[in-house]
Amino acid sequence: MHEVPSDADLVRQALGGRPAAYGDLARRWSPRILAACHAQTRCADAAEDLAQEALMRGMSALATLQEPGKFGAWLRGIARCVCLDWLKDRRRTEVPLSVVTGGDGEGPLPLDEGSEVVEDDEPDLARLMGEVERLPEAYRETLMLYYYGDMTYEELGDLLGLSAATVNMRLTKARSLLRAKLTKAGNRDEME
Amino acid sequence: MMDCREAIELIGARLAGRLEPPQDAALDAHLAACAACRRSASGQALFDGALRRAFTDRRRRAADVAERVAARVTDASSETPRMRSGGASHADFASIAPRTADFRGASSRWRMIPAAAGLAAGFLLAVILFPPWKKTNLTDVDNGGSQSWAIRSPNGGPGAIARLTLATGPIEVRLAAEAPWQPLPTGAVLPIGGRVRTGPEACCEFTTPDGSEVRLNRGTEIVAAAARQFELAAGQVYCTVAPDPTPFEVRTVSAAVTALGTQFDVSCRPAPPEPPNTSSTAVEASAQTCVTVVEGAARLGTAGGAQTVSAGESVCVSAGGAPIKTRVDDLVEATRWVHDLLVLKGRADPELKWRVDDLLARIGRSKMEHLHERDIRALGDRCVTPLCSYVGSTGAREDPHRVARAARMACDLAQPWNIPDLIGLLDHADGEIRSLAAAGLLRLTGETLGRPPDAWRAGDGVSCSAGSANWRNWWEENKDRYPASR
Repeated sequence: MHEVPSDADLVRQALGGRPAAYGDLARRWSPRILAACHAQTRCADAAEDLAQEALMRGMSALATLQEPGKFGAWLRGIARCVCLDWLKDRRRTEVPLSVVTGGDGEGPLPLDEGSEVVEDDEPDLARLMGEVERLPEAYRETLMLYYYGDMTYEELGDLLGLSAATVNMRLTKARSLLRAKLTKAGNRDEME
Repeated sequence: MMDCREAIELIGARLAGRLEPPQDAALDAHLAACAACRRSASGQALFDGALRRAFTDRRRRAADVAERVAARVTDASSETPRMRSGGASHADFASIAPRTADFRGASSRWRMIPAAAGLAAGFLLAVILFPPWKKTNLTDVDNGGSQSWAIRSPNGGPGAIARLTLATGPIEVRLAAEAPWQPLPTGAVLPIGGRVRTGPEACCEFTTPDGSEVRLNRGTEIVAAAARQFELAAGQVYCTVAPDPTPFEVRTVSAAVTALGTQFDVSCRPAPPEPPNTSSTAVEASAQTCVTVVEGAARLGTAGGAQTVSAGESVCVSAGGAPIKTRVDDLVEATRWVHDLLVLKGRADPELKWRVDDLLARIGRSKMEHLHERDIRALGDRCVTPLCSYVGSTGAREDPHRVARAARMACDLAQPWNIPDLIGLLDHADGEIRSLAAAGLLRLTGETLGRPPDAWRAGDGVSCSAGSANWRNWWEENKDRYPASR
């Protein structure tokens, strides 16, 4: 299989004068940083701007990174700061699309008229994303990192400081919680 | 015999493709005997699939963010003389590091930094990268015929509605009611009121300043009524909608479709030619509008009321008639006309990968698998990298039949720029896959490096790894003889 350059390799290449390495780092880490921002803010739209901001700050400060092998954790730290700053700012007046178009801006889209919470059947994806944003923080971040970025358990474990078994447990529990929220069968199983 | 607690752990691990065959068999044995764990396994798999679909658009957004960052880094480097000369790029980026420190609440560090000459230049670069007075938004700027997009405030855009970004053939535009139709070149801007039509052999894609995409099928005619508002006179459009306070709407003669989510397909079948003196109302009544939602939801408004159409549903309505809602099991098939445009995009396009993955997922589950294979093959060499990625993934072990089909397609479709993908398959655990890859390499290079395709089928791990290493070395020495991409 192909030899994939590590984060440390790309950091060194970028600092060594290969500008394309910045783009490679951005492409590799954009899903993960967007996932982290989405999980922290619970706002998908804002998360895109914040992730872009965090990535730009990371790229611009790359020369200050002491250990290139810890690029991911370092960038995630920058993203957390960016999100915290956004969360502290109470003066925002952004209007979510769902409000303008008549939906419930805080919650998931309503079920179709006449329908009800279903047995174990395909969940409505918009409702599902709404429930993902309501998961407890630990489950929310793990699940978003996994599904945004197609990360392996080992990569997730390295980033979050968890064992692969804990990552597996969190993902399984998160899916169970979502199933309990969105289907009768899941709710019944979760109660048992 | 494993207990339920262990089984639940393995159910999660199986979804991630992490189970070894003995664990796999043990889990199956437990599930055969335990109804509760069977229900749990079914629910976990259902939600794993739903989550992957729910995050498809998010992954696309992440790719967009990455490209914007990459572009801005490149722009910044081109605006900084030292970076143009090469070799000193880190110095330029390092010089704006204080902004990050300031952001982290360490503004006092500003006072501690010596007033080095590079700081001023670095600060200017930081201002270029992080304009604090502007929200990042892609808005068209009319800069004297340039076709570039630039960063501007959301309310500063001129009357341009969209830009033609992709086309498979000639596209025509009419800028006023009586004006003649004229060719619309790729990269040109569509103004308010502009009417566009595709011919019988061309489809195209427009990108709006907010990042939404509007694709036109063959034989389609639309009018750019206003920002995020299009009138579909005839044909079919596929819209991928970026969030924005302004509603995104597609109107036809009999309905209005408003985005509540991200992706939907609208077709408008015009009424057949009517004899003279037929009223326009009668013509409208026989036209039919169909909306199919791929992701999220859309609101379909007609004279009789409005209803929400969810992902996986299709609703057709004629003026005066009752809407008919149907379930669409195969959204990729229902919207396969967009594939002609996707193959024009980069090989790493996430939507292309999503569609290949979806088609692959259906192979082995459906009696119509030859049709799904036909659709994948129609994508040409663009699908080779996603196919090889699937074949090499641990999750693919669950379905050897599907893996073999995917490998065969990849090896059949591979072009010279896919040689590294095929070399990667020479390390596969399945001898049949290795043999297919070697046959593909023989077709593309005329080489066997002393090991014909059949010999790869029976090799052991040691001899295969040595053989694949030979191929990697050969590629390093010969890659300049082959085109890097089409």
